[in-house]
Amino acid sequence: MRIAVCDDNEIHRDIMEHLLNRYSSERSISFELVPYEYGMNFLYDMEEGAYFDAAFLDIYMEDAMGNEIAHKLRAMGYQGEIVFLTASPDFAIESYDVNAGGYLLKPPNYEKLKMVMDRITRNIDPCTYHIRQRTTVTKVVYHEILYIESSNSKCILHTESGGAYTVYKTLNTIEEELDDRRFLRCHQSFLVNMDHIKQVEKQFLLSNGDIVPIRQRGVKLVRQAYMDYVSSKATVL
Amino acid sequence: MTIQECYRQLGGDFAQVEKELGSAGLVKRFIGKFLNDGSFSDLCIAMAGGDRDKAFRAAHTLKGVSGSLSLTSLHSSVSQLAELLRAESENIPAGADLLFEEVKRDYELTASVIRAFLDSDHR
Repeated sequence: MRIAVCDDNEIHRDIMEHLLNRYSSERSISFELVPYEYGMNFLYDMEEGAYFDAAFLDIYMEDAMGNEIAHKLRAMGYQGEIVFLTASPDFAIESYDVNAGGYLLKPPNYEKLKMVMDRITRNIDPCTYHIRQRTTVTKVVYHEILYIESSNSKCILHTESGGAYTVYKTLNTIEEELDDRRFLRCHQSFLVNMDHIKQVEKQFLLSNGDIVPIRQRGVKLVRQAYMDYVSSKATVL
Repeated sequence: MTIQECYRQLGGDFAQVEKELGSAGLVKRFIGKFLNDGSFSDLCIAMAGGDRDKAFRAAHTLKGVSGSLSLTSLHSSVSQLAELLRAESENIPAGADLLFEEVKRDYELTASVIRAFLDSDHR
């Protein structure tokens, strides 16, 4: 994903970068972040054909107003997401004119950013797993999957929002299909999304309170794999 | 001086900013940047020049920055000034000068405490 952050204030740009890096790490979604001090420079780059999935626009910038930039972007045919950053909700109504994906009121904090990003990444189609059930296909975004457990000849996929989907495939097959390093086969019957692990002891405790067991033989290897994954994600301060 | 003590002296909320930014190390890095932030001097220049629009934008930016760093006392006074300067008009409205004096006092206190903290940290 390519994200532009336009704000004439360096501290605000740095805080946004820090929050987006944290989101990137927690959701295992990679971003390329391009900061802009001047809204006009962002427009020039767009005119030259630069591509962005999302643009965070400060409203009161030195050289231009964020909502004017947004209108010009849409007039140029920009299809990506637009999120306004501001210390006051002056332009809430205007944001509907430009089909903005949201409004981030300053001071920005991680929880607010997470809500906005979860919504816009859903539209931008990151890694999704398709579950076919009779005549419907349910798409589950990878970062919503907590864990998958196998039971007899079927599997149950558990999601963050409390969903439990039956998948008529073996856990081996699902693991191959997901093909993503965040999923760990910690037990013959369990595949866990390591991004949702809150605590590890003899078992994994997940952020929603569920417990996922670790296989008895090879406990150390499983724990080590988890530790390696966590340290590979660590953001450098 | 610890960073908690620094925040206490400047009338800020350290618990909140540590929660938002995630670590004391990051808070320290950002308050260092705060000293180089130009929005206060932009505000002073605009107020001296009687430019309401520029003064509003500078106050608005300073409100955002001080809020992001939970510099609560400063955030409170500059928010009031920003609101007063918001209304579209040629000149700076009456009452703004008085509020501006308060912002100046809060800014000077905040900046001097941060400087003292950073100095004590380097020794």
